[in-house]
Amino acid sequence: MRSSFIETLTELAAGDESIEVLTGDLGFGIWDDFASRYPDRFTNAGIAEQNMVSMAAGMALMGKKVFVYSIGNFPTLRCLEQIRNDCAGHGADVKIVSAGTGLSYGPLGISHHATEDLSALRAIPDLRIYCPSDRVETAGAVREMAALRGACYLRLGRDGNPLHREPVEPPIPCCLRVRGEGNSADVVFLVCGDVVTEAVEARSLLAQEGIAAWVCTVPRLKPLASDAILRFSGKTGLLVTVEEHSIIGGLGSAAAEVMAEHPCGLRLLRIGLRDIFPEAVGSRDYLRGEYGLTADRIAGEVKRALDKRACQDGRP
Amino acid sequence: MKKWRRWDAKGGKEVPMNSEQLAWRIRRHVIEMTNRSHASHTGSDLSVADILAVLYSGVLRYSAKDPRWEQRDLLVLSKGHASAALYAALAESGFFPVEELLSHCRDGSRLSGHVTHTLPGVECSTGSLGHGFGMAMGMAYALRKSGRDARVFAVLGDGECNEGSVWETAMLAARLGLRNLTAVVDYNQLQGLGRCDSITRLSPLAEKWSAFGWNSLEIDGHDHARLYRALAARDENRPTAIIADTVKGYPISFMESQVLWHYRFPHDGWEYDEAVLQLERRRPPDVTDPYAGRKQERV
Repeated sequence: MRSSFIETLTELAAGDESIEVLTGDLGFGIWDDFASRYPDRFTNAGIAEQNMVSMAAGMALMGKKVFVYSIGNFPTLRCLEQIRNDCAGHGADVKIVSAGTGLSYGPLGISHHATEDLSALRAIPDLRIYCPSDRVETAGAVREMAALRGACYLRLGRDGNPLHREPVEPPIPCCLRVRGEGNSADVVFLVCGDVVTEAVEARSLLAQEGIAAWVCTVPRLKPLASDAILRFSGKTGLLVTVEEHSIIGGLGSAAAEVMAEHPCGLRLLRIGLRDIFPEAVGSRDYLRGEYGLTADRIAGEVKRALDKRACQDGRP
Repeated sequence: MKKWRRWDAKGGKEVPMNSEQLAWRIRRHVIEMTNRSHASHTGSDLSVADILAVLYSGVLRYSAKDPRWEQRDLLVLSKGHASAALYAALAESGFFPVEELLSHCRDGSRLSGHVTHTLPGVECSTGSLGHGFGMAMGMAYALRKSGRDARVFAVLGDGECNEGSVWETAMLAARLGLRNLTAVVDYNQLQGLGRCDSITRLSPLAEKWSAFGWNSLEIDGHDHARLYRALAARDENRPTAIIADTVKGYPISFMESQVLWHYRFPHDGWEYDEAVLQLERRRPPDVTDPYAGRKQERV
């Protein structure tokens, strides 16, 4: 996913001389190609994210299109106020990019678990948020961000195995169907980020038990077109959001907000971190297992939710 | 003393006021604006008035008729709480009508208590300390990349130098060799709850900037000739920091060096009357008091 971002940006930079990259002293090796092609447009701003983001806003106000790169919470929570006041507040053409979000850096501990970034950033006006699920969506998101003037946040995970066969061209749809047949399904997964692979596998597990599921990705979390969610009304009874993020404030909350204001006969199940800091460390897969984000745990939750719904409906 | 004349670089038209006169008018507006709006930061506005007056009297290239003029120099008031002083300087320089100053902090006004970029002549909004300086540095960097010869001035508070981000910016600006960037610290030695050095160890301030790789100098921040010389010069390859020694509340005797006047506005009655009287005694020749008729208005 990260390589897709850099490849796309490198390609775009050839045709747009205003593109600049600032890194917070991160990305060992991955920027070599960009930096050798455009040495004057690549700046290591040091381990100083507050300054890096303010500086990016100042550069943008002088006509540059600035991509700010770092990992985890460093380019987001560390400099949240700079993103709010200096970038979004000025409509500055700054694109904040964080790689290794969610539980990607599982063994490194909570300092490196980026699991509240969407909650914090989604509340900021005039900030577009992209959360692609594979390298194809990443490329599309980068193209869209580069084409638009204004502040954006791009949340990158670790894996980028292509789920989409066709390129995703801007304007990026709010929901992309990744897997799913027919005109209706027992359950629709709404997913952002590379945790989509777990949802795709959960779909297979559910299919073995006769439960039909669609998997839809949400590569652009903000602005989130309510229609994209409401159009599932009548096609399914259960929406399940899956995100490697807190269930507070991210995709699950965004879906809940839409559904609360537009009664649509859909039930919602939010899957993500349930307001906790992981106590133990371990690989991302280990942590996903511990906190209910693996395919089998997701499938289990869905079955329970469907059973509960059946009981409530008075069915056996 | 040489009289610095304000100018509109684009139009080439001189405005008939020198820096001493402009500084006086800024202070007079500040007293009136804070008195009427009950806004804070009177002391900070007064301490920075001379710095702004000299900047707008021959140092900055600007065009009030075309605030986004490509060849303009840029000023970022990083200590955004001194907004009343900047608004007064801008209005007197022709960016918007002087009459609008009295809307400061009122309902529906665009003159907010901290500087806002929606006003002509303001490059960016500030108010959260430690942001404006970084933005100014980014502007200087981008201008240099674009081959533009413009300069960028950032005016910081001394209390603002408590913010770690200020020193993040200082380190990178020095590494990048941004000679087109000048930081001016309004060193009145008072911040939120007391004297700077009693809160964090800020001194020796000029030496700190030197240690961070800047060309730094310390001058009397109320002396216009010295301010002009310091602001007009720039180093060969380093950014410049001017530590401007000022007095908070200057030159109103009962406000000087009183932390109370970081917050207090001159209240109706003796505070307002005395402030106006003390300013009146210092009024330079050939400058009028825009609020001279106020007493009659009230009677």
